[in-house]
Amino acid sequence: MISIVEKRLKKGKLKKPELLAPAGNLDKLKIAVLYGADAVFIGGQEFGLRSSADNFTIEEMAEAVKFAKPFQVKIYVTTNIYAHNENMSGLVQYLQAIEKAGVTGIIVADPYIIETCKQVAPKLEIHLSTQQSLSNYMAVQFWKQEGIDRVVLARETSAQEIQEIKAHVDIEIETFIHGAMCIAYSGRCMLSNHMTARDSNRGGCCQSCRWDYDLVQRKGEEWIPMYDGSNEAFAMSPKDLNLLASIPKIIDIGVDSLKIEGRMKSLHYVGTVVSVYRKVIDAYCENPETFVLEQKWVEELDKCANRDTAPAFFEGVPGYQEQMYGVHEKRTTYEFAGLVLDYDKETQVATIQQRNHFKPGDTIEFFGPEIESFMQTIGEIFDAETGESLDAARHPLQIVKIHVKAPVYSNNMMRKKK
Amino acid sequence: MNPELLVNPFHIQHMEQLCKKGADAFLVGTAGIGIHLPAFFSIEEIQKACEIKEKYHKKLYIAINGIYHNDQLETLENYLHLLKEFSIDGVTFGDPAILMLHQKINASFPLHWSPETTATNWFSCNYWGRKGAIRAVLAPELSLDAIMEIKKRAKVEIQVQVHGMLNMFHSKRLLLDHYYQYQGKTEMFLSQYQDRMYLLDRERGANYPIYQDELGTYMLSPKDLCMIDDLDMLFDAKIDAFFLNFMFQSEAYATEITGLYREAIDLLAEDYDAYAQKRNEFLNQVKKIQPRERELDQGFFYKETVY
Repeated sequence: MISIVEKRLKKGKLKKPELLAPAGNLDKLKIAVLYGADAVFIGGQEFGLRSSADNFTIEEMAEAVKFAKPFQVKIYVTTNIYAHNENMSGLVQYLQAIEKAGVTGIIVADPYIIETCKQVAPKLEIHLSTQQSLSNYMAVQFWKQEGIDRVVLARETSAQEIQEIKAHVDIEIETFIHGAMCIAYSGRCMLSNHMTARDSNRGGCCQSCRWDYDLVQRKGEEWIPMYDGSNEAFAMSPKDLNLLASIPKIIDIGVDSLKIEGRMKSLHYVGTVVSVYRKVIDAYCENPETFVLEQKWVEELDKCANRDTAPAFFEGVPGYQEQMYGVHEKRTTYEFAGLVLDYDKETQVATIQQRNHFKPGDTIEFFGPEIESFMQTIGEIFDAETGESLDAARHPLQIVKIHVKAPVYSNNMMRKKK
Repeated sequence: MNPELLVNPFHIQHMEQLCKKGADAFLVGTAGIGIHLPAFFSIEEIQKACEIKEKYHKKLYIAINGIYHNDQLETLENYLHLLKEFSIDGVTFGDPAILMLHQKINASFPLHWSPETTATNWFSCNYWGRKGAIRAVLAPELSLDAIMEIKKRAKVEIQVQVHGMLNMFHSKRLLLDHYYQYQGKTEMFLSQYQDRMYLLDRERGANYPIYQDELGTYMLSPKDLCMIDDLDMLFDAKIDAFFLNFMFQSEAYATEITGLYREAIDLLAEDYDAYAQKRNEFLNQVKKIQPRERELDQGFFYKETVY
């Protein structure tokens, strides 16, 4: 790996990769853009997985493009279902509308959508989804020949494999760096279909892999338990992916786009994850030789974690320690308390939109792209309209004013320890 | 023409028995390369299998149906080179790397596109047809209506599973080993399906067969598909191949079931009414040898999925 860094440095081309963020709606998209994403992927109302996410109408896509353009941020739309015959109509109009909305590209798995897109919406880039489980360079070569602009590799590929793929095929490579994982090869899991008649490859996955099972052996007519009572049940639930510490290696390999999972995730998650990876990518590219991963970035990222995290296949073969046994509650240490709408320099008063209950005396933390995170204790809370002093901000989306000890900017966030 | 009756033999002698029971074609594969197979055939056994299939005028396909990583490509290329020397009738594949290698070594044996879960519409079937496949193996999660429409619009042969467990999961992780290690057990657990491990789902009262090999962990459906009493529509639609899956079943079961489907297909081809009259009897005969803990059902043929 080191030799690659030296080579790139000599040539002066340690290419800064694209940081690709998820957004489930326009608010989240704005946060992703403002907090440092180079590109954002969104779902439309058809042909995409995650059918229970908010998802964008065509008009909202156009609005997303319009918002992102001045920041030179690209928008991609996920159209990554494996279509059944009954899902095949309406695609032409849909792709043409996406193209017209100014979207840069689509993320696709099904050849039907790929081929149709080439014909009817040629301006759209085509990115092959991780649903194709691309794991070797010959498969990547095949899709390059098919005119695919970018491939998202299988989450099962290691750093070395990605490097080999990069060396063999001249094509843009996108890999996941953060977020929830499938325990199976993506697209190769029908647990949801069999257990609940919800089609995972059309966006209905019920996440059966997060449930508990008893492992038993059939011997003759008997079922022999393969566990003793003191142990947790058999589970497949994978820890979430976190490649913060591997960012230098990923950049050295020359991966073109670093993808964060989570179209269903909160504003707080999008803001936190994007801003941390932004800082790490920038710091490393600025000066790779002196770069050190600062502990505060690691801690910051952990503040929005839903589960324990692991580097999964990127850093080798994941063992049992990268799965969770007997863990069902989501692990959240911080909650999103409020969004800064405005700040008055003269009075040092911030206008805040409430996102979770907070009250005078609570310790909160402000963070955002323009500021160094800081903690403070909440003093008096005033209703923004009436000026009335409140004993707490208890209503969702309620607008209040509080005094802050350092400048904040609109769209900064306020989080609170749970 | 009658649909081809395709089965997995457990070993060479079993293959000969299955020939006599009326199987038309065999799908075999080698350990570390083929997946979703009840048994593995070494390259020498494949050579033997070629002799048997020629003797009985049957067909032999080789499963190269995994998801492959870079370090397997050389092995695969060598394997395909060896197969080139044999009289095999086709290779089933899902990974496009196999298509590339097939071209690279100038192989002439036919290709069957068999990606398991992702063969879900007629366009994809024809797409892989244009890339060189002569057959598409449909995902088992499709409805009968969907299968019929695909067949109508497909320019390639269509293969459908009509019996046995449905493959429903492939992970690269060794989930059984991991559970053992988590429990502090020291023995490694590289299990073949013969170990008959199941996951019990108490909430649904279901059990899911699970097994592991060097390429990962696999799970199978809670019930066994059985269409022996309901083959008419598939037959009328001229589905090209009927596949019987014998994962987690005994050799004797495989032999008996093959014979029953042979009889059913032949009767259907000869006399509709006779088949219609005998359909329940066929089903009862299957039930007689069906393991007690494995219920039969009709898979996704008549079941809608939502999303």
